[in-house]
Amino acid sequence: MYFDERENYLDYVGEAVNNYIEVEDKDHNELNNHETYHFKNNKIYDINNININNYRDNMSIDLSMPKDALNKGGIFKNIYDPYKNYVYKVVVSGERDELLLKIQELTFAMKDLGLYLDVYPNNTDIFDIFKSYEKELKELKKTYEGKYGPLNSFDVEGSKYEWYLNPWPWDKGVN
Amino acid sequence: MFKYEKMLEYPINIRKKDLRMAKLLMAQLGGPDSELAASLRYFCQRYTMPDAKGKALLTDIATEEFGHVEMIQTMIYQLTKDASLKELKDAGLDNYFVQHKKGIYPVDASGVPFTVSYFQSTGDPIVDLQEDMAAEEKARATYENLMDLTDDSDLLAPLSFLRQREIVHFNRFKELHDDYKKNGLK
Repeated sequence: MYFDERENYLDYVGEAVNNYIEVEDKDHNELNNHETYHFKNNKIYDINNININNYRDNMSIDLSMPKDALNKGGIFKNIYDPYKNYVYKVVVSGERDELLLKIQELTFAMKDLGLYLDVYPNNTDIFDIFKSYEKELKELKKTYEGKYGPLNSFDVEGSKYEWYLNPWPWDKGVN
Repeated sequence: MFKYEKMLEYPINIRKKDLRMAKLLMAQLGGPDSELAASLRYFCQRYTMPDAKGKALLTDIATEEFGHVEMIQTMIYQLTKDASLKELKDAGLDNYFVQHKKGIYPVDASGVPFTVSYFQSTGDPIVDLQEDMAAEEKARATYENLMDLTDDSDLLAPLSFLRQREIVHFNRFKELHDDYKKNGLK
């Protein structure tokens, strides 16, 4: 496996030791291949499955802030794995581009949280963060669109049809 | 239905003209492990995912990958925009120019046009997800090769972003795959 096996493994051991309460089957003293444990958060863990990502639902999950998440390419710290320690920070100049960057950061944070929620829809902690970003994003988009035109062809904030106007995202020199 | 957002997923502003890198970046536009192949792969496979989680995840990743197609196209467009005919010729892009001028067209780094035979849609969720995991890893490796071939931070920043997305997608696919394996297909 390519991904952060090393980090996850350490994390898994830490969580397992701290949350351990009791072996589910008390009469069953020997470990077998299907041993399960109950932890404080009432989830059942298969100790033979080392892929900790299966059990992330109700564990504390470290998230980056949206700005940092966009720089890194992901909001979940546990699966961040930079190549040759290359780390970049997006810097833009000008009021329009700075506002757009904030929108991009929140859109990206929601996108990444959304992928997680697709697999773990019952994680209410993550969903609460998802909702709070949605609220923030809506406000920012309204401000942006009032000043610089629509981000979506169905959005109307001004008095004229402005969707077609330059700049388009691939134009040089704009964010 | 799809709606277009008038912004890139990650800002791109390439100041330096670099035709060699433009040619190499074609690998991720129209190559076997390209963003275009990824996007179409998941869009085709999502119909036969066995539950709501699978349909949602493949739809969402396919959509994001289409945004990555746009990012790669933007990079190639900005890298070639101000090139002269002589510069294109010197960079080995004259065979591209003769058919496309500076139009953006999906070919791989050697000029081979994109084909859908780069991916499968088997109708079997386990098989499809294993292909998806492999695809994300192949794309990650390609991004690392591209990062090794440039020292322009205007290019390295979006490439580093795209590479990390491959890792995130791999993990999500793996989680879904392991869930199906463990709990069975519903």
